[in-house]
Amino acid sequence: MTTAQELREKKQTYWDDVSVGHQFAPLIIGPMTPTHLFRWSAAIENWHRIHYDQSFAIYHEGLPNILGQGSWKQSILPRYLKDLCLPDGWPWKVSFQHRAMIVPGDTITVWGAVTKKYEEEGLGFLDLDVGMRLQYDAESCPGRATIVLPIRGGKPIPYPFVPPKKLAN
Amino acid sequence: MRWIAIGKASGWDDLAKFTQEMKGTAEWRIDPKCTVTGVYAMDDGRMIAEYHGPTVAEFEAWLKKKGWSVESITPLRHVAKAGDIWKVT
Repeated sequence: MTTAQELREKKQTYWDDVSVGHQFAPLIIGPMTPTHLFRWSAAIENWHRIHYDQSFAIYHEGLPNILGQGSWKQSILPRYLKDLCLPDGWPWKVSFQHRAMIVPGDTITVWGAVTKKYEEEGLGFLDLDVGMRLQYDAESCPGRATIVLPIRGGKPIPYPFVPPKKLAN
Repeated sequence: MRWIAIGKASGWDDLAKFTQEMKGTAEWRIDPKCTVTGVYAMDDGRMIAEYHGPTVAEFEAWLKKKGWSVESITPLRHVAKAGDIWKVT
């Protein structure tokens, strides 16, 4: 798990230094516990019982255990991409599917691999395959993302980010 | 579907052995669809295990791998948990 201090001190990854096929350092989360799930339910006021009531989840819903929230997963991949881009890059977009369920006991490896590298209007773009892989190699959230990293000696990435017109759609 | 197995497992009356056999996620999370949701160790040496999965075959394989001497494997019908009643089938 990355600490806040590590993020504050993180050195910029430059577009120049990344090639197609590059695998970014993974983020390992877990093993998940019921406390992790309940904390998220409380934080976002998601009171569906499948996330904290084990008997309801198992015997009423027919699930293997209480389930990790989809909204939690939706927070983790953008966080991972944001951390990759810090301090001056921009996690432009990400889309993914919800597949394998996450339950207490699971350990999650959040990963990203570069599939395409291109420059547009002086900005460095990287397309990535991304996902959240579980300990038995099931992929819980396969998806794709595009991040923008600074080019050495290039112009700063605008904040807030506005994509080049050619890529805007 | 859910099944209950009743049987005996050598040495599982010892808490350290029981913990070794059941605590790690890989010990009870057989695969994405199959989970051993609970195991009870009874005072007379018998064991009860509850399993969730699409078929019983994975449960049978797990019991065999764990070295259980199985008396019975039976589908669950309904459950009472501290006053909550669940129709399982």
